[in-house]
Amino acid sequence: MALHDWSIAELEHWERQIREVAESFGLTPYPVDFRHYDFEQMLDIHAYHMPFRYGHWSFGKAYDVQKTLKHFELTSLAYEMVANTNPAQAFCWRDNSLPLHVLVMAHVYGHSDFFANNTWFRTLTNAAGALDMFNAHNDEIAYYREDPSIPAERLEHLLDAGHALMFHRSRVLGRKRETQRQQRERVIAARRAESGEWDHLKPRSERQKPRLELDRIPLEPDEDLLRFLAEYAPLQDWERRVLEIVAAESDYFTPNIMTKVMNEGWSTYWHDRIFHALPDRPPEFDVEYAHKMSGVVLPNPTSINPYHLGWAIWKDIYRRWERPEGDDRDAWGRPGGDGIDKLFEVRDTEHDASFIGNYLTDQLIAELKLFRYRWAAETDDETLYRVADVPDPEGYEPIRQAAILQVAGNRFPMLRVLNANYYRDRTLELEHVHDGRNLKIFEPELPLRDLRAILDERGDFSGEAELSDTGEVLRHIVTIWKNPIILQTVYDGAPLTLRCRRDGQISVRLGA
Amino acid sequence: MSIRDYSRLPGGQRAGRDRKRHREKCREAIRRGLARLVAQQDIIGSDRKGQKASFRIRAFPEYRFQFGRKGDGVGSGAGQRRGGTFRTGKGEGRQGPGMAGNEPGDDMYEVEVTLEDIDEFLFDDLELPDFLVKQLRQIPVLDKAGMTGISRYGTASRLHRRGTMRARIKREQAQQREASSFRPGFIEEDLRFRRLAERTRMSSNAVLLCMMDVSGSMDDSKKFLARVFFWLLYRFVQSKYEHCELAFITHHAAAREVDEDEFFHTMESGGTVVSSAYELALDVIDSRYPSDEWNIYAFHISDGDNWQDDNTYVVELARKLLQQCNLFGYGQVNPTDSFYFPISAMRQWSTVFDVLKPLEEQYTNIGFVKLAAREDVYPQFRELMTREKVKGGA
Repeated sequence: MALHDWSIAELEHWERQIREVAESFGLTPYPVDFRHYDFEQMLDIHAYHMPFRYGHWSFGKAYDVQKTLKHFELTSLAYEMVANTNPAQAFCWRDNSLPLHVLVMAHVYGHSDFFANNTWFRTLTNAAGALDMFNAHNDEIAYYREDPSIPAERLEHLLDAGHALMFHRSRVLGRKRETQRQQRERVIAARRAESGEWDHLKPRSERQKPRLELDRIPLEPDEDLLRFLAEYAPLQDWERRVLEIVAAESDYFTPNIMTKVMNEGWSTYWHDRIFHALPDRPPEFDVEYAHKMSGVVLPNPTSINPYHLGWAIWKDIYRRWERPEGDDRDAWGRPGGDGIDKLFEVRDTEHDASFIGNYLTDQLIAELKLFRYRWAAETDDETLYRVADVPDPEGYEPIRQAAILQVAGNRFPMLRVLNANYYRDRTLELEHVHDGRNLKIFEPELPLRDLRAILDERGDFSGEAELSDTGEVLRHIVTIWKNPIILQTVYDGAPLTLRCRRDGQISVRLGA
Repeated sequence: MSIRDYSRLPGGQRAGRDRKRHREKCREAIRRGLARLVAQQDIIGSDRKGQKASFRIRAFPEYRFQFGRKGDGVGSGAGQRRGGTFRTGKGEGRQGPGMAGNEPGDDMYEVEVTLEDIDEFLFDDLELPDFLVKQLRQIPVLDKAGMTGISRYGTASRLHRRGTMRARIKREQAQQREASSFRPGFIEEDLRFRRLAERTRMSSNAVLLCMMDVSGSMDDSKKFLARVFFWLLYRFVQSKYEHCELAFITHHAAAREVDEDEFFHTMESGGTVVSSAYELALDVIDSRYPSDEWNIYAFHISDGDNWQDDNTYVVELARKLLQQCNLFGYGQVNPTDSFYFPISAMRQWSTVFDVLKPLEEQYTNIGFVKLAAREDVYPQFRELMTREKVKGGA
């Protein structure tokens, strides 16, 4: 403790000040427990994301990777991590200086407020029970690990597979998952509602509707791969439970992914306002604050820094509703003075994609000097990019759309189950909903022309080493589904089919 | 609302088991991909003396459905114009500094594996081949002084407490308590000390004589293959003998003994006279590594050219070397990085190989390798080291 220039009493003093200022602005955060940890413990928390979590090698990897990076000083240790629980748990690095602790505490109150109010967090997570849930999952997996009748590799493979599909979940918030029977009833009712009183007067060709395949599973394409497999794959009870545990934890983490830019931007916006409203702060606070703040909101030349972009958008929203100018005032007739209310409204209702779509204005794109680039070429140690759009009247919309594709659910390819009984032999048919971006299938990446040449020459793409992520995930799914899988996707504009056999052999075919 | 310091609480080692498991997975992956891995520049470049040298490999991948690289990205910064380009190093620029949220992020980073681990993967199941064991020369060497036995005299730091106690009990039992001579407690005669003694032990020394053709036709890619092979041979010999030395000889028309750095980096022009190198090797052996004290490994790598009139003399010298060495080997590099290089082309051994090959019938301690591509080196090395076993089994 002697190493620090602060005492717990001092921190408590500043924490009280911060809380009072935050409440005076109208923020309604969960209460926060600040927990101080040393370096190794912080690495641990960062690897597992929670104080309790079941064991899996990927967390050990995250730990080692972070440790290595820090050892070579490639990244610095994050100052804090906040868990969405009630009361919120903030994990802070003990060795932060006093001004940094003050900044971190203000930042944490921003997160806590966001957790308590944003609809994604409110709908998908139960903040009061989150710690208990993780603890229970930890116990349950530990129990399976101890069980001598359960092979350790099988447990590990299931978790591997679960993690691979962790974020391929439903993208619609708040729609309850239906059973097959509920789905069938809904589909039949919808078909009935389609036919009107005078239908018999219409020509036959118009009356004839495609037959409903009511015994098809799933009736409608299912995006929630993890729950689908848990429901329909031939699994033992404990195996099903493992997938359900991963799905439940994925629900907990999904809101973080959906609102990364908003959430970090919100906390940055508020720690900035709170800090500057703190009464009686010594001048050296401001110096260190400015130094750290400049690092946090440093724009990144090749990707979106959520702190930077989010902060800029929140500031812009406040300005446009508090002191509207130009079109905001004249065309939209905003009276001004609604800044705080608007902030709270946006905080409550949006997620990253809608946030950027609705509030990243042309002016802001120009101000932030955003640009869109495309991958151009690659050498052994360098990647070459070509700038495709710059902030000018033709550029704004493409840049905004590209930014939307980088955030929220768009960070993951959308896959869905079309049919669990393709070919009538329990082959699982998956579809990749192509949004202009190819799946990562070949390593290194293969132009369509070369792929076609290989397929023409050899009849099949059989080189195991050249198939990357997509093939490996299909193999994961096969260990759960235990029957063949077909994946339909589009590759450089041409339909492409991957087929994974029961033994994990993968074949590639051009065409649907 | 509370602020607490948890940093000095015990525990927090939950990552231990998961870290261990991840490392195990990496090791399995390394073992599987060994041939490819061995030929990577960064291992070969690592320090041969240092025990702590390390290199980096990719962390064990977690597979996901993810997008290929060709998608759009958004960056920010001034001075960009449409159609302009910029470049980044691999893995750069993907992570912002400072605060973190609490979501799983992307990861394709690197972890470390030490050189010792690599040795273990490479040579774990490789013993010295039979044909080498037969000739294994053992030399008695003075070992460090060790503690053996108990003595009545010594310094206090080597007090043998158990022995002392035992001596006291014995003495007390022997003496009659009533007798006038009885003295309780420890006395001078009870003290026992650990005895130091010098031990001799059979030890083994090895020297690896690396010979390489540095004439103009040996370009960098050929030298690299040679280097990978010598590196493997050195690590192997070193792992099997207590003490291993290296000597480097380069030759073109004349031979020269050089240091390691020069060995791998000189490029000279001129003709090729292989016998000059063998002559020098014999000299080095005679003067510094007499064959009754040293296990000698001599390996010569070239691209096969030799001055034709020299060939008879080469064979004569090779016979001498074979009599002195545990292993005398000749490697021919014929590099082509193409996987599709026709095998038949590699069969076209040129003169030095043709000249030395017949010796195989008389000597068991001669070995040949052919190095065409990076991936070949480790399999070729293994084949060389296990061939006797295969033959013996047949």
